[in-house]
Amino acid sequence: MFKVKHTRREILQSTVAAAGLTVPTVLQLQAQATLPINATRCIVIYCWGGISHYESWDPKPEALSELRGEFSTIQTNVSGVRFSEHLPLMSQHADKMAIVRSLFHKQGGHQQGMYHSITGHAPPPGVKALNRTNSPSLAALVGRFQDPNSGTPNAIRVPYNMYDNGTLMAGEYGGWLGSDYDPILMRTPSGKPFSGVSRYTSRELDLKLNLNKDRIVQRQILQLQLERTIGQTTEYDRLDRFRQMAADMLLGSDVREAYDLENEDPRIRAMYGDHIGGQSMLLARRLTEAGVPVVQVCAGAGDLAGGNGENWDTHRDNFKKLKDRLLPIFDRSVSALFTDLEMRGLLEETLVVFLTDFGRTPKINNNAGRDHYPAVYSMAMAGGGIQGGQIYGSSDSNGARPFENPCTPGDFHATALTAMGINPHSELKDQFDRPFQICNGNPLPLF
Amino acid sequence: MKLLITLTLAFLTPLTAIGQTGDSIEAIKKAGGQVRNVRGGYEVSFNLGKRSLNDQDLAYVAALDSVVVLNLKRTNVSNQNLRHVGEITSLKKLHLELTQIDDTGLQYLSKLDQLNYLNLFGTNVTDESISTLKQLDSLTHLYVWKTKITLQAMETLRESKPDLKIVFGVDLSMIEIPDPNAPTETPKTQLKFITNPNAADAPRSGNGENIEVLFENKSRRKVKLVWVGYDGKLKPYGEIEPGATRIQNSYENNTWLITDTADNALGYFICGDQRALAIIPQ
Repeated sequence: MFKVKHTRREILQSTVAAAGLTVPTVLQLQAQATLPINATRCIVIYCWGGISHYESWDPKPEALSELRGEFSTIQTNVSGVRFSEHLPLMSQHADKMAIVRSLFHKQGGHQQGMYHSITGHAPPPGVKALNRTNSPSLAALVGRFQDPNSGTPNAIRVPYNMYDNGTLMAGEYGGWLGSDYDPILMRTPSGKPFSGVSRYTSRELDLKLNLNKDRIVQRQILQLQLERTIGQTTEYDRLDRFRQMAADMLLGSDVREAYDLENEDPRIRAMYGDHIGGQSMLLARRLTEAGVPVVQVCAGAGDLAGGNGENWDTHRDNFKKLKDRLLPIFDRSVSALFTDLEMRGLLEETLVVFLTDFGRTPKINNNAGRDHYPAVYSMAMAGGGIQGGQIYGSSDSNGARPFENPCTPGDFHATALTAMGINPHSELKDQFDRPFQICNGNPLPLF
Repeated sequence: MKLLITLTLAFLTPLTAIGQTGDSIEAIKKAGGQVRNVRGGYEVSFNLGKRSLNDQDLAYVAALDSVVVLNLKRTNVSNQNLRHVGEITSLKKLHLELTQIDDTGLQYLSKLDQLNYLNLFGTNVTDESISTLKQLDSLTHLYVWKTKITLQAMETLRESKPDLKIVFGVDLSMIEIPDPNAPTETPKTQLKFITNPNAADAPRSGNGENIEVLFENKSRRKVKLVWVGYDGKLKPYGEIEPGATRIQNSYENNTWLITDTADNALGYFICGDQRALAIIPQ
């Protein structure tokens, strides 16, 4: 299927094996040589809908005009690395990022692609949200390995649940880890919303926090109240009030203080932009800084609604949508996050992971859009011990297939888990004591 | 008897040592700190929840063998307390950000020759500390945002340590704060609300330019926003509270049907080719 029979990773592995060392050992030695600990915090940025690799981190200025699109490219602060021209701020942070340009999987639908990308595992047939046999999301899994007595929630998601035309998506929950590990959804308290449909509230609100023993009684009362509310009324705002109450009752003061963006320096808030896309990134920084191990940000409208609205599913008007709204918000908010994490000295310990459903078709369709394309796409990581300023793998000249070092969502997950100090081949048991290997990929050499 | 005493002593010595480590860890935890095993030693952290620290707490940390990471972020650590920190020669990473320490405290750290990460963001250190910083041989990462250290002084440090990464941060005075009271631009054109009791009469959406519609619900009840698909199928787009507005991405020639919460059609809008206001009347 691929032109290159031996990937650089395979060659590296065989050379290293010949020297009597396995790849993980080498990575460990390298890590020891620098800072003594792994990343302790993680921010997952999810581009719901499938961000175009052509118009972001893998532009193809040499491709035929019907493929390359109308954007030009911009030189980044890493020699020889170019991004789309509409990522001018992010291009000055390329030295912090490891871009992987050779990811692929076989899932052409949003639900399936998102599931594979966010859990690292291929979706089961007929996958349904909140099924406890689903695989856990990266955020849920990272949260699972954190100290249960830290007094913060394991994992938080902001600002939206992912939906496709009103259907709640599977993948961003705790799956077989159990409901205790479902990341909690929090609404970003300020910022202009993404246009289109974003369903803020759902009847499956996740309020299962990791609690100390003395709080269990409160938790039981809360659960009872919630179950009653859900059973009796569909009034979203009432449910919201309960959620607020629950948050007040259950979240530690550090987290609550971090949630209040009014506590932030107004100039820092302005740096992120007054859009919910920016304010959500700021919230992610504040929450992780306050001790929450992992925060997942949905960077776009919550419901794809047939590509209608500001999400990455750009079947129609790909260029206009990206140029006018999506890329400027993304560019500014991500760059602000990098700047902010770095100047506080938090980037070393905070792993930033970008995920998306899949790439977009090299061929531009009749609606000036690009369609779903899992055969090759790009994702990225930064901070948390990741060596910035590198490109791993490549796509072919048409951005249609992996050319060098093809890799899977599982490999990408294995890399993120390794950065967090978690052995990707660990086994965990589900509620019925069945063992699961948490990841079936191998870490990429991004350290 | 002598043998017994010797044997007892031989066993007691390591036990006492273990006991001391255990005692120190217990004492640190009692003071609100966290101790974790990390590669190469311990990580001790007091950073969460603005803990109040005293000299004795840090003496316990100094008594622990091989502390490699010490996090004192946002604590009330004093310049004098740093004397104990200066004794922890195994230290590789030290967080002092958002504390009140200044040059007098920092000078106690000059012997930390394994330290490669030093975070001084938001402290009172000045250019006076450059000489101390120059003595830290292993330093690779230095954070000085919101300190009194000047760019010029940093240049002299950079000259003596060309591989040191110095993070100076952004100059916040350069960032403009948008006026929260600035009016948001109201669209110039307004769409006509076509009242029609039968939802089936709302025409199918057509194609066109990508535009934005600002819906404003001036009726006294909650309404539902429904998009009439290209195939005539109805797709719900959520609800708009009385008095609320909603910015909605749309396309030219799209039809937006407004219903009450019981799905009775109240009327519809058909989008034009530009950004427009759509008022749901009383």
